[in-house]
Amino acid sequence: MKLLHFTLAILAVPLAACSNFGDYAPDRGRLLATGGVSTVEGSGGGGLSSWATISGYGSDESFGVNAFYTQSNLPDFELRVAGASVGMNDRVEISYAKQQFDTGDTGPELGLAQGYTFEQDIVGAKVRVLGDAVYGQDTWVPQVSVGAQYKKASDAPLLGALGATDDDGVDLYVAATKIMLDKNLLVGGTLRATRANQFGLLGFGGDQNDDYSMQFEGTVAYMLSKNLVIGADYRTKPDNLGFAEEQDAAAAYIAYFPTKNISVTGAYVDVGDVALRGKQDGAYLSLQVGF
Amino acid sequence: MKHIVLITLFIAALCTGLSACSTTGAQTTLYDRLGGNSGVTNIVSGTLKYTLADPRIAHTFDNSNVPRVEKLLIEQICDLTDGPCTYSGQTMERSHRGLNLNTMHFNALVENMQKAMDDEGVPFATQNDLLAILAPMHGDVTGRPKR
Repeated sequence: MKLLHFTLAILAVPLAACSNFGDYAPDRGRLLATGGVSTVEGSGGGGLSSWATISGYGSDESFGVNAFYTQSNLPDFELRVAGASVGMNDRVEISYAKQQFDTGDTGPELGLAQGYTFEQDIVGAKVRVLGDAVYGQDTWVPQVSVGAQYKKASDAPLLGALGATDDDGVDLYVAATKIMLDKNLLVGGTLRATRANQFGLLGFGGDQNDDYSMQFEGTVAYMLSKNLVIGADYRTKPDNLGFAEEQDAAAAYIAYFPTKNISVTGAYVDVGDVALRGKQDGAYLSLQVGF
Repeated sequence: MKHIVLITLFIAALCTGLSACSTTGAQTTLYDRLGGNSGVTNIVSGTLKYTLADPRIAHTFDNSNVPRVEKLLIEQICDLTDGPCTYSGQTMERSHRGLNLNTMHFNALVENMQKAMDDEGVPFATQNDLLAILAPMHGDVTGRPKR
């Protein structure tokens, strides 16, 4: 319920951006779909992988604002994410996401309360350092960005009992994204240094491994038309906790961009085993609005 | 197991993209696929029609000789898409100097061109073949350093 209120509040963020700061106003000056959608961590990208693109449609003299709500119903859990991002001058992206991982009826079987919900706040920043995914059609150089995400999970005592070392941590990543217009294709790869267990929902570092490890995110998207994209994401994750093995995550999606103000993404997502409950895969739906 | 399915999908998408590339090209020129002389002429006149009615960029043509721009654009696209023409106009950098164009202006023209190509029934993939050739002009048109 709290997340619903939060979602409503965050949906007001793009509306606030309607107000102009002199000449510095949203110009929606970039091409449809080129900003991607919002990842489960709030950054611009695919569903699971952060891209080098800056979120929104603001050009290099403008800005854009997005808010999103994502829900994934898994066999034993429900993931809900609400967040917002601001893309400035097609150069800098600031994002925020609140994740809830609801154990529902599974809670008591894990020794937790009915409906016990793991929560996490994620603040992200991303800066484009070189290349241009759209205009660099005459070169192989991709658009490259570097980013950081500060993550803070709830309930440190429980995470500690599960074997996690910390309830907060910082992910650092480098993302390269290339749009090949003449192939209607977007491809990308991201290297992420992280200590996060299940994206951070189960804390950071653990009894099995406490160090940063290098993880990979791969993304491919095929443009069926101006406003319809199909794609897939693959993401490796650390396996730091002794009590339960953690596996890679993958998603296949279709995203519809009727206008620059709204996008809807439907996906099949598989985040692997979670907390000894076996494979967690299911439907994923994400709605994004922006200016 | 599902991951194998997803990886297959990954590869299938890649192959779709690559084969879409390899099956076009060699036989016919992009110029032909855009509809030859009449197709390119209609695309350019449609682009200008939408552009001159577009509050985002109509004003940037205030001091332009529109019929001349139209003739040169047809010639330039014909040249760039391996049609039987030689572009006789100025460089993109020179012809846009002083117009103070930005990325939003550039993309507004792209969007108008997409609409004009839709009107002409140009398939999406063919549209992107043309846009892939025009996109790198962004730096010269907007006076921004190539990035």
